[in-house]
Amino acid sequence: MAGDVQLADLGVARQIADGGQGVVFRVAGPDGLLLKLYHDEVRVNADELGRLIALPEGFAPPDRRLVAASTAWPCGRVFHRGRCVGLLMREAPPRFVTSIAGAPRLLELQFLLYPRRPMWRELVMPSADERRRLAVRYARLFQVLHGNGVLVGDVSMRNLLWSLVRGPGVFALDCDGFRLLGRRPAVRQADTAGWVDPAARIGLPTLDSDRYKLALVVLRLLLADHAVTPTDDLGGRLDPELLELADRAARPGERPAAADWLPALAGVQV
Amino acid sequence: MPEQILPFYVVCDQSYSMADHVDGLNDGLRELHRAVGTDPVVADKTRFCLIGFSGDAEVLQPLCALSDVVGIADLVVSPATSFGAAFTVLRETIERDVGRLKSAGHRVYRPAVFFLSDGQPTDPGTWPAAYDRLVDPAWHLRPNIIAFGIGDADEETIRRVGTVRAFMSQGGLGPGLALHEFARALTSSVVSSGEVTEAGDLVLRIPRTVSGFTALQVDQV
Ligand SMILES: Nc1ncnc2c1ncn2[C@@H]1O[C@H](COP(=O)(O)OP(=O)(O)O)[C@@H](O)[C@H]1O
Repeated sequence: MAGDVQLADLGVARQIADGGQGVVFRVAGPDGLLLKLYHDEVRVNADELGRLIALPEGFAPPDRRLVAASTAWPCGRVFHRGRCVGLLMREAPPRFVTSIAGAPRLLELQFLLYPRRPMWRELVMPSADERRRLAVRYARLFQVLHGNGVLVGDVSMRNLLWSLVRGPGVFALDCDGFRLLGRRPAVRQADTAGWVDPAARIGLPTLDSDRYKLALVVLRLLLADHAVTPTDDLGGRLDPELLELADRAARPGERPAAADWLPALAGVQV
Repeated sequence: MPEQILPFYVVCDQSYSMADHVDGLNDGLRELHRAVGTDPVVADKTRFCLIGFSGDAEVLQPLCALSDVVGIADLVVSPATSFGAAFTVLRETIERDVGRLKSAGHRVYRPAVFFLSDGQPTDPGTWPAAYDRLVDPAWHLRPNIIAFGIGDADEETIRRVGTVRAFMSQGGLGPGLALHEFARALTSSVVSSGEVTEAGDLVLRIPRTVSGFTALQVDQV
């Protein structure tokens, strides 16, 4: 665990990405830690970030293990001149990285939601059965988060990773936007276009809107379609049990809980 | 399926004066291809075309989704710097490309042009007329132009070519680095423009500053 650190005390860092809210660096040292340094204009609520960092300590051990294995949960705050300017987190494990066109590339969910293109023809894609098992992993992750009062908020197909190495596995990035039910997030989040709950107010996620987004993840993953929504006519594309869950996902206030998807995903043919 | 599409045209000087730097520029364009081509969301919403010009102008990479091609053609140097040829070919290409996208049912956004030159036009008497046709207010497909000048480019000319933004490399910056920064600015523009906004639209996003370049004041109307 990293705790609070001063920016000046971090070893020379190499930039690996420039995101919407900050620049991500690999910190020198044996830890394999990443630093996310927020852009100047981003307002960070240091107290909420501290609360988020401490949160998993209060989870039951199996939940804590799942969160540690499947998320880049922030593990330290970074200060500069008395201000919180960034966070530390673990880097996504190598099984969530592949090589495309000779360069490393995170295995983002988006690859599974678009038709295969020549540029990523080398990518090993999951079978229908593996898609179903990946969906189970995403549902399990949401189940554990929701069970501990955590909302994901902004779900995007760039921040959810997948792997087939040593069995289907998933990993979530950009966890600083997660929030405790009823509290504000440490940093304000945007809603990703195409992943917005039509019944929710922008930037104000609820348990129901999070469940809607999980339904999008599951349906889009199973159907390999980035645009499908629960209100589309899915008859013939899903088996009856999943169809019924999709139907509930279309009705605000009645969205299936994460756990509801698990039995339906257990053995179905898509 | 009908899509929203934002086309990018990259129009690069490949006159002899670029000989020492063209490899760096080609590398930068390969980086762009890798970044955009392996991002399904962005590749889906944007299209890319590469035009090289010297004495004449040619389409080196016809308009495509960068995920659909596994390599893009290199720029190759030859004599002269005809801005007129570049603007004429650009207008014809845009007209044809957008027509094709629209007849396929797509919603096409105003094309964005990244124009790069390292020298002075060798057709000073004729290029302005070709330019005027390209930006003619009566032509509904007239593109937004972001102009970059490096090396011997003339600041006044670059300012005049840019319709939304213009950048001139600073003296201290070598051409190799300048081209690297150009390619980075282009990549970041394509990647950030390729994501639909919360309102459901595509918006052309251009970096306000490019390291090593001075942003020139472009006429506003
Ligand atoms: N834990 C991580 N492991 C590997 N790469 C990461 C990690 N966190 C972030 N990144 C990289 O940095 C980019 C931006 O990070 P993200 O947290 O999504 O920032 P932002 O909110 O600014 O978009 C990601 O798209 C990814 O490429």
